[in-house]
Amino acid sequence: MWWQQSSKDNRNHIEIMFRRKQRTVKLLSSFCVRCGLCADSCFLYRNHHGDQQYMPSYEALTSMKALAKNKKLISREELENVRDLIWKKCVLCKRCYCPLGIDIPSIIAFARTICRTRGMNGVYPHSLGEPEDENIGRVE
Amino acid sequence: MSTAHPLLFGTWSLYEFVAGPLAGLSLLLFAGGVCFRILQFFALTRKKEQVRYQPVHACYHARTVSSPHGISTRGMSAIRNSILGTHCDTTIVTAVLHVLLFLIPLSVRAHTVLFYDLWGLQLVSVPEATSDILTIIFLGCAGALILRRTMVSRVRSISTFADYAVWLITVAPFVTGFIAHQHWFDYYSILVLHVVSAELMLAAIAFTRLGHMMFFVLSRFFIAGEYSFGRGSRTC
Repeated sequence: MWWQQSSKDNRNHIEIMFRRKQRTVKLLSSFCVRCGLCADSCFLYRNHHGDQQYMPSYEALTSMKALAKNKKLISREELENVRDLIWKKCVLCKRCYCPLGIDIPSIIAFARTICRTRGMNGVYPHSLGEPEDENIGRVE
Repeated sequence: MSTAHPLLFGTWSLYEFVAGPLAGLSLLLFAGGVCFRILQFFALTRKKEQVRYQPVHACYHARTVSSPHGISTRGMSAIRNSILGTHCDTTIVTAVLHVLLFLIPLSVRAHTVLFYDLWGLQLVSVPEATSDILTIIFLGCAGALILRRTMVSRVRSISTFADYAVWLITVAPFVTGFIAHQHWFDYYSILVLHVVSAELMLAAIAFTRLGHMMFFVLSRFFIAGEYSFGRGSRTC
């Protein structure tokens, strides 16, 4: 379990994983022109009345930025923020559409893999006992 | 030009320097950078295993109902659900901008004369009044996109300084070219600025987000996926 491992082991694990796929993910995200056109292809974004945190590109870019920036010294709090973004706000249905052909789900999946190496497994609102968002599915 | 302005770089005037060795350097960076990016793309992606699916039954196609206008309802539905259907204005503005981005530099009379003198290329040029109108349309489209970036919250939330810088790098050659053609301000200074800004854009293509120029073609045609244009032979 993650709490039984030394922090040094965890860091090394993340380093190895990053090196393996970093270049591909970097290539994919470096060409994102931040057009925001992927937003409307996400049903969660539409159901949450345009909350930008549910936008596929926001989730992919923000999580990778946090993980790439702090890959050596990422704190638990920061990892939890990333986890909330890529699990609670994305179901990885792979329906997001990018006009440039960037594989957004693969970036989010990679971020999830890194979280798992730190014992951060998927957490959904219902599994935490949190109330469902009252605004979900409401038609204006 | 060299006689009217002081010599700055040895025997070259400033214009001769930016239109000579600096232009060569920017072309080299552009060509080298594009080749590097294309090779990097193929190095980072790998060949996909070929999977053969059963062909769709003919009766599926037969069920397609045609509208009185001759367009199948399935086709209409596909357009409605595409970006053209959901973001019609953005799609049109973006498409026009990208077409003009290639068309204007290759069809302006001053450029076609330059290409002929340098390389003997005979390109079709448009009348100067037309190129002025096309430039104004291009700048209008670019203005609409920067307004969208600053006004639409979801786009603003993911925008960084680099996005605004890239917009500026793209628009600068067209603004300076238009001003130089109208002979506003000091012609010589604006002309130098025009050449420098165009070289900056060329050099930046492979190393910034402007690289989506070649990445778009590579990813949509080569990476296999639901939204790819072709079958796609590679995977991430």
